[in-house]
Amino acid sequence: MQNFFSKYRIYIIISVVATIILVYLQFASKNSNKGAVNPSPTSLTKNNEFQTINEPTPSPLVFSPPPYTQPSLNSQGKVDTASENVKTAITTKENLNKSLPIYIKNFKISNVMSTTLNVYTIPEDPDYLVHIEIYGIDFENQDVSKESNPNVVAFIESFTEIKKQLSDRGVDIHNIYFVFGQRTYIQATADLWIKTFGLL
Amino acid sequence: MKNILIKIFVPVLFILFVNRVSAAELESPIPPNNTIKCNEVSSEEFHSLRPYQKNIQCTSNTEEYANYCGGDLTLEDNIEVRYPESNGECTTSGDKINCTYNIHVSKTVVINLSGAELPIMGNTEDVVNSKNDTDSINDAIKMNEYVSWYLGGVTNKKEYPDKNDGVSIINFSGPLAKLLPQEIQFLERFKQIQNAKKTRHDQMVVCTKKEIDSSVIPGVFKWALEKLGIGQTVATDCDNGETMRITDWDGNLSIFRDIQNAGVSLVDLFVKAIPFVGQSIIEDSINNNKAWPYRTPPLMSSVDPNGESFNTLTYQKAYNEWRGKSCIIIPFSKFLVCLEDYLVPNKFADMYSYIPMSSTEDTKGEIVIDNKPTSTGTTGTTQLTNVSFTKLSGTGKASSTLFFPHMEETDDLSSILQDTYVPKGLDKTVSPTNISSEASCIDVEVRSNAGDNLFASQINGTLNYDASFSCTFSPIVTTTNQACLQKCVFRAMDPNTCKKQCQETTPPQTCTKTLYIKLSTSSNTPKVDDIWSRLVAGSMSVFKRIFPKTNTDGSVGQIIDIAGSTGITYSGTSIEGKTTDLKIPHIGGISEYFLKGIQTALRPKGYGEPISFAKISKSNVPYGVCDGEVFKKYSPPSETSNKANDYFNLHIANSLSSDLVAIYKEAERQTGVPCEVLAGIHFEEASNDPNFDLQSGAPLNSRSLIESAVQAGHELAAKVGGTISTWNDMITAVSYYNGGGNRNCGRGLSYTGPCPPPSGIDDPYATAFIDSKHDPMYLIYCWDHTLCPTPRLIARPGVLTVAIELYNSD
Repeated sequence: MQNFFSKYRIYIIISVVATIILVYLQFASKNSNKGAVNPSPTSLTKNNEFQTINEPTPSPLVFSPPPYTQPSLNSQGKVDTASENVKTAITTKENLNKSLPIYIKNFKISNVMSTTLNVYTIPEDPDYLVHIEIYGIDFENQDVSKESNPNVVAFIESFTEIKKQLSDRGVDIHNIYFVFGQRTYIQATADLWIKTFGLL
Repeated sequence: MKNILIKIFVPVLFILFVNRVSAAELESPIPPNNTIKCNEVSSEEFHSLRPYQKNIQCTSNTEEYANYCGGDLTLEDNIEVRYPESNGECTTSGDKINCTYNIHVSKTVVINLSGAELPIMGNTEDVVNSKNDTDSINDAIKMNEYVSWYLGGVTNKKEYPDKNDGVSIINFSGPLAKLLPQEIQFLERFKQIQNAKKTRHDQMVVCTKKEIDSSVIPGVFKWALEKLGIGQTVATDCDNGETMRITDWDGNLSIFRDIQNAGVSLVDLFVKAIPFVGQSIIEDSINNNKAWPYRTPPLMSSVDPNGESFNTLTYQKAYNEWRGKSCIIIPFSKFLVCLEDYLVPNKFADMYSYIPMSSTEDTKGEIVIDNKPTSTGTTGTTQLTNVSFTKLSGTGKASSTLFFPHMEETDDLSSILQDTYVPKGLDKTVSPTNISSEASCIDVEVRSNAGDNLFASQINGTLNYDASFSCTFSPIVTTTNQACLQKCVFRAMDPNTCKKQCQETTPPQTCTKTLYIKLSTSSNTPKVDDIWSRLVAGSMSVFKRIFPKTNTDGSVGQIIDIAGSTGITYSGTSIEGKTTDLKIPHIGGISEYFLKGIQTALRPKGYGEPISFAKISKSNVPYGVCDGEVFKKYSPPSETSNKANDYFNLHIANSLSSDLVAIYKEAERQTGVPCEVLAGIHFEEASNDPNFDLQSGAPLNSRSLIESAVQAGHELAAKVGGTISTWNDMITAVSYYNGGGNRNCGRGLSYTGPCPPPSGIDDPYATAFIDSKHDPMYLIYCWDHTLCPTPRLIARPGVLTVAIELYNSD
């Protein structure tokens, strides 16, 4: 045996070294596939997880239209045009239409702000509905503090002025249905301030 | 006799049992564990086009759904009242008692759904799969009736290892195999290798064995050599073969090649180290002979093993080396010599075409029960009010998850098919144009065929309703049983005692009312809008390459948006086993026009199936061109920014079909608001999708787009007192239309453009990218009442920017 090893020593050494190299290369080949091709990047994820971590999606706005924006529905799910409220609103709007639009630009608020007041209707509106809009106010900011949010003061004074304008035209705002513009965030904030400050 | 009966009945019972088990088994997905994660595998896979049934671990839950009304589920409920025990308001009328009841019912209902299939998009259940050895449908039916089979072809599938004959390749390989260059097919398969274990399972793609194709070697030696792994690799059925998965192509071809390349690198180092005459030439020759080491194919558009771009010769060399040869480029002559290298396997090249070019994952859909039933049942005088069906917890809609196969797959394959003709940078899923849709979903035309199981599960919900009804009863009467009395008296008992003992009172009476409550359902189907747009309805669709004109004079007619339909069986609490239908939007139209219509067009007249088209509808589509006559009166800026111009040309111009623009023009005619501005508003609200309105991008439903556009015109003018007189008025009106909440001035932003007056000049909704000063602009509130964590750069042009671009376009 010893003769065998001594006679073929060099070949054994070469075989061992070659085996070690082969084993190393075998493991290396399983892991390497570098830089062969650079295809167009596929969109591996549909949603940007980084965005999700840093910008958690808040709860969706839950806003139920308040009672002054739409009349109650009957059992068929339709507006009860026979109800007294709706009849009154329709009649009031017919009388008010002659005076519309009421459009007042640069209405000065007691703080540095000024707003634009707009009362109008469009042909597509239901017979009982009027639009009341106040521009120049940031309705995204729902802070109800008069001290820290000047928009609150601007809304209160503007809405009060609108009620006065309607009253001057013989219209009690409680007799009409109205909306504060198309966007939900405006309606939600306006309704919050109306309820907080008892404006209706 | 007894033995005969046993011999007859036992097999019958066995058969019935097996059928029942088989039916149950069909409802069980394969593999049974449907929560196998994306980076895990199972030894049991169902079919190469749907390996992991009912598994949505790899697909995102934020896929967009297409909603469509479905069939009604009818629940039967019984209310029983007992008189005089139940509380009712009772009055006596003659010799009858009339009682009125108002009862509130709230109960948990479990509805078991089964049998729902996805027709048309694919079929892996009636063909060879892990449970079936034979096809129930032949290759022609597969290609003609199923989108997945048509696009992907029948060839190069694990289940059909022998379909590499001429007939199969010519007739059943599908358009992608015929149209796509080899380079692109290589690339698409490579993308799937990259996606394996990340966005798709590492599925089995082929089973292989070794085969020696030689008539010289005797059979037994041939068998032995094949078992030793000598011979060519061929595809075979998986019972007899070795499985290959997608990630098997990740890695190097052969250790011998690696050793060879290491040797070449060593020689190269040696040559570099010793300068001599002609060193660079020798170096080039050595570098050129570094062999392709990877299991994935070389791409002409990529780089060689030295990191240099391929030329024709080096690419040929790399390609042959990938195929298992060893090659050498003879220096000076630039001549390529290749020989088969038995130390380098061919199987990765030979089997590469079995890797799919798309995902094969299921995606999540839903069947939803509407909160408020559309109709309620009344039986006789029973009235039902306040009927609702909600999910068990909370007030949301009750729903059941559906698992849609083939949607990801066909969306991917359709996109690849579109890449063969759509110009670079253009949107391939443009909104449908010139489509006739049904006004309601009752009695609509549908298409259906056998498809794959959607594995609809249970819907658990709470049924609430108030029932008002009346019942008539007989008065409670106490009588004396004369027979009893006689017997009692005969026993010499006290007659008064006997009278008491023998008194009989009318037993409690029951009144049962049977109620039928219809719950309407709708389906949410993932990805179907995109597939519909890609294949049929969009302006860049495959169908419109064949039929460019629809719904115009002289054209074939108007495309009908036809739904697909499948039966769904439901049972459960208060429900007997019944069947209703589940409708899936658009796929009937995909069958009608993409699968059948194109074939009919390509064949000689009289061949192919007739195709349904709606009549050309021009009566309610106005004619008009947005010619700028009204817009120019406002003296708008003559041009916008380069960014706006590029965006308009890439993303908006193709959406503005002539019909759509005609609608804006008609609204301009009725309101005086320029059609260009209305187009800009529609872009902001709904990306000019004709199915969504200009007010908030909501579905039009029963309204028409003209009505919405006219209303938008009225609303816009009303924002500035009824008349838009100047360009500044226009800016203000558009800003007020959106509420003005994101104006940029006074926020401490990097916006350096002008500030009011006029009001709205700094509102990105109106003026983003209108000139270079209005870029960058920022989104301040990402959600209602919620500031973005950091103000977000606006990426889309504003209303008036789009208006100017449209005004300036041809």
